[in-house]
Amino acid sequence: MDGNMFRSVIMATVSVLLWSNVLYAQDADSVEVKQPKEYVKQTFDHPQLINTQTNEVLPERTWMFRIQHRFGAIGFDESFYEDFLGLDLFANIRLGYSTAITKDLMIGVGRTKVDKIWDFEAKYALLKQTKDNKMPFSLSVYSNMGINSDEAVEADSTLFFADSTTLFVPKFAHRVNYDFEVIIARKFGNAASFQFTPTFIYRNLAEPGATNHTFALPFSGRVRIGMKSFIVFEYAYVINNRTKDFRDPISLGVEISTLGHAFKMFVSSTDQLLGQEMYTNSSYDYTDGEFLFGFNITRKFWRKKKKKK
Amino acid sequence: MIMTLFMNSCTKDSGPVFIPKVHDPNDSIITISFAEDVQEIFDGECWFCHPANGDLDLGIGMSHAELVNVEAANYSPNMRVVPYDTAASVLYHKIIDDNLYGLKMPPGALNLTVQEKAIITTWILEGALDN
Repeated sequence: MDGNMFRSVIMATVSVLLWSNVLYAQDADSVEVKQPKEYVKQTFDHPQLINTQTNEVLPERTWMFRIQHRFGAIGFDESFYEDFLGLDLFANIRLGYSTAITKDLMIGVGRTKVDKIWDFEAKYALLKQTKDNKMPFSLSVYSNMGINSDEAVEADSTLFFADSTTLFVPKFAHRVNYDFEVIIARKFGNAASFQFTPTFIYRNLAEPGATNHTFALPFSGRVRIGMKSFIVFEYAYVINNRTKDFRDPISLGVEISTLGHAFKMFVSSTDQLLGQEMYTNSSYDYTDGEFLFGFNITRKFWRKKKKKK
Repeated sequence: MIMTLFMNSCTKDSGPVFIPKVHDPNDSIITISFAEDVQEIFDGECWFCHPANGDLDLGIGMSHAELVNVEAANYSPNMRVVPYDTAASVLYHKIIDDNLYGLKMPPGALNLTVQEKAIITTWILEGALDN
């Protein structure tokens, strides 16, 4: 994908966002008496499932703090107890802060340990599933820009671009990677919710032999097992840039959720925390018994409504 | 400032690749210091999982003796590091992640930079000295 096409994708996304508002406005003008739509609530309780985003955006006047922690990888061998479930090994962590801007738009910032990545995210709830099923699913768009702030690779007479002839010259843009997602979700009563998330990743500096763009098709969901507890799962099929022995990320766990908190404990085949990294790097080989433990803690806070004078 | 950030945030490149300079074993020019360059990588990226009480100690004062001309525990009779010979060195294959000897090192999300890989590769090509 060249620069023009990349700009076109961004423009198309922005256009969809703007036109959706215009169409809603026209719709509202043309109907004199309109019953308020009853939307399906809490398809997922929080904006993040395990590694993937959900269709949920933060409600107005809320902000959220997130801790995502992944322990080191272990297997069904002595590492299981010698490394104490992976606690003794290298871990990856992301801290995130997000806030609602409007009732359908949230933005956030996060910091990941590996590669010292600062990321900036935005999510917009474009369509919402209605109880009368006239709108059978919810659709949100999500974008994330990650900036690697780790030590820079320095120009060197032995480093070249992938053509092997042009001397490598590092630029700021090489540190920046993008993640664009369209999240299509549906809640099936109170029993289960599933979502499908076509994802487009753009890395300014691709690994030699890989293309700058990567497409992935994550499928994820949760199934209720108690009043506030769920089984959660994720699987993502990465379409291109699959190197030899590439393994797709897969995760399975439990969620205990309240209005303000969500605790998720799971096993996963990936310790990457951002789509830009998760879908462009192979996961651990779960077919060979390699996996890791992880948890997410999410806490929402509410701001008081301003009193009218 | 935000506009400047976005204007400089898009490009389409691929790389970098490390192409080592041809090294003559009779050449006395050594560019890599084990103590200052290689050990620094081990301290920052490897020692956490390869501490003093482990199977492979990559700590200061131990790492060279545990690596050079020592058989790899899981890939015997292949050597962890064979001086002047990257293809025969298990460590080299581990860091470039060519799947020849199992898990890449370091594992998972953690990766050596291309520069760190270049330092280790050059160190092996220059004879894997304890300098």
